[in-house]
Amino acid sequence: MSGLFDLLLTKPLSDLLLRGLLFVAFTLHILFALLTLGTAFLAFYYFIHAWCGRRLHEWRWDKDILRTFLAHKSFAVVMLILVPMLLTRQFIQDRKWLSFAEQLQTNAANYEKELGPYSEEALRQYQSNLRIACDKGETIYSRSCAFCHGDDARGNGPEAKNLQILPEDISAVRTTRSYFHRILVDGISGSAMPYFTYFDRNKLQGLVDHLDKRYHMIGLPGPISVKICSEALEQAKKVYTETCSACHGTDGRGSELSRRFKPPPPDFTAYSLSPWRAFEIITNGYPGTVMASFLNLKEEVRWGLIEILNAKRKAH
Amino acid sequence: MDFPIFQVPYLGNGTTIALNAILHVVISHGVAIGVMAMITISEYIGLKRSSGKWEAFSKDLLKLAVIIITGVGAVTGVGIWFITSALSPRGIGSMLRVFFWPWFIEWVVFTLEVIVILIYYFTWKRWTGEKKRAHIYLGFTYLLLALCSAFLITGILGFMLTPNGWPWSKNFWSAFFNPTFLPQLLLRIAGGFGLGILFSAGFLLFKRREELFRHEALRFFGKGVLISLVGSFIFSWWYFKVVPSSFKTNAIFSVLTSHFSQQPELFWMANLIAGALILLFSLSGLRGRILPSKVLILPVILLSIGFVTEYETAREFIRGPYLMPGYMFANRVLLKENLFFDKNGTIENSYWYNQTVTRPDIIAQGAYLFGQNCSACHTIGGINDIGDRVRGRSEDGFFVILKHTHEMVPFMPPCSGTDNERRILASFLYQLSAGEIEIGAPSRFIRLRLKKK
Repeated sequence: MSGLFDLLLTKPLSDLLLRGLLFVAFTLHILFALLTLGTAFLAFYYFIHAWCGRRLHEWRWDKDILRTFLAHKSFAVVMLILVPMLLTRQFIQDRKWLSFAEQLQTNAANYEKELGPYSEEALRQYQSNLRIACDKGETIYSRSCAFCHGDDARGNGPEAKNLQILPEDISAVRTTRSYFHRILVDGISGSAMPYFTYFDRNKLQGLVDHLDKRYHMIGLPGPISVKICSEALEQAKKVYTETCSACHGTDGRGSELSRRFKPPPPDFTAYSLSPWRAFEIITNGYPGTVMASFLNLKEEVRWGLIEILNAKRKAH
Repeated sequence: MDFPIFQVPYLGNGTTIALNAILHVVISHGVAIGVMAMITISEYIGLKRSSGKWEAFSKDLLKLAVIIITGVGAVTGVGIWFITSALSPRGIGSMLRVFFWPWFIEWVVFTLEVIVILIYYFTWKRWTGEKKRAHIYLGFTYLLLALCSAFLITGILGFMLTPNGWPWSKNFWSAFFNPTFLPQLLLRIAGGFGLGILFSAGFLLFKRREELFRHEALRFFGKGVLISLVGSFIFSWWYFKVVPSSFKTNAIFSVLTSHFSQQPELFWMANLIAGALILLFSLSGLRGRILPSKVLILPVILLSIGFVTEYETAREFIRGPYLMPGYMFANRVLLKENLFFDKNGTIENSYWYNQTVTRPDIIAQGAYLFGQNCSACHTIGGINDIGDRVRGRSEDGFFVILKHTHEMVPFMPPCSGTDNERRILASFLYQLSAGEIEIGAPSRFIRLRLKKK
């Protein structure tokens, strides 16, 4: 009986106690099932009775049968059914179920042994996670963004190598608050960049603030340090109208065609990159996207294209 | 793993459990504690003031309460066991191992509750005069038992958010009397009383005509609503003060969901307006104004049920990645098992999968990995549809994100499995989002072929 005082069931119950408990439990269950069945039977009986109306009412025998059925016969029937059922159940249980349960217990013990070595590490991770609250921009960046964009936001996180479309170098982005918020809310279709609406607006604004503080990403792109002669600028304008505008649109917002691209090009009236980063993309293309390399253009023309883009941004 | 995975179509597993649980909470708190308290107190007032009206009021209300408690209340209570056994056998099994005796005692207490409430109901007419006092004691005995139930269940519910030192020590007492136990118990009692008073007030306003009695009772209920409202406010503040901030920070999102998360001010506005309306009702009750009370009572009852839903949703949601913090993730993978699976594979160590699947079909594997890792919260084509969640992402993006779910989303458990399994799941999700595969439509249960012998 010591098993009864083992409040947390740390030890297995003794055989006798287990069988006793099971016997009581099954008895209760079967009694309950019979009661339910009996109630359903009665309900059905009354339903028929009401439905057939007076005709059935004249049959006196039903009430007598009902009364005796409820009083003595039901008890006899219950005992007649119950006792053999329980004995059979117990018999089968001894032969089949107990050995099966033993097998399960051995399996569980073996599995537990296999998991044992991981226990300490799991608890350590749990404890360190408990200390992290994702409510500040800095925490959100390091937990939700850094594995792709990298700790220094240069788009070189540990997972960047697994992505065809490389993560953007956030430190070079120069955009508006609302455009950035929209990227966070919608994600970028066709790329790995997901949406972040599982952070409420205040938290996303905190993230924007954090990135702006570190990389000054809200605002206009800086001036171009290279001198561009007017000839190159003219040529750049020609290149933009003839080539770039097919995807980026004459106004820089993206053409009808490119909206279906995965990912679509950014809206240049709200989104720019620092000049050197823009130069890098025009020169090498953006891996994984439609944006191709324009290494064939003269260096000065490429700078000229950036000048054009910056002008489009400043116009808005 | 070692149990079959069921996925409830459209609703999803979590919502199915939640719907049943919230109905149960509204009845067990609002009716079994709140309304029954009002009945006993009304009977007591009837005796004290020798008022037949109070006595008749409590008697009529009792009939309704008994039917609801022993009918809907009991069925939804058993329903939780049934639903969780089917949808989360491992979760409820592990909880049972920790809290076997509290639940056993709760079962005894509930049986006693039903017996006492039935005796209380059937002896109303017979125990009069001399015996009336004994009858009232019987009512208070029932209340005491109902509060015992609340005490026992709250310990278990509190554990599921703040297990205190349990993950390390496995100490039962520190698990049961965890940091959120007391504030939550008080909050549940205050909320239950509030709901019960509102239900009783509704019964009074629509089922009683005598002017004088209506005024008297309404003033009494108005006072009660005010006290419970203030109590609920204080205790919920206390409760959220105790909850660790790594959980608490997701509370607002849990209520707003991603539909409204970009308008966080909605959360405060809605709560403030609802609270103000309840306050308005209690003031109009205190002044004994029948008409405004009658207009307000139904919206106020609905809003209070909304508050219950909000609280339960937040409490369940913010424990986020865990079903039992420090022991089991929400997708029923043990914390230590997650590390084991990452190294040795989920599928290889899934007894049930290996017993049922005939050949290593890549879609079946992907579907199984989805069921195992994601289906505790996500559905295919229903509420929290995984298709919506992943639409537009690239396949390599899935692969990367699946490795970081627990970092990226503060309330998401990690996706367990080797890199190869993650690749399988990524390709499954990608095809799913592209509409290239359908699983067991229209039922959307994961269909796995049975192994032929």
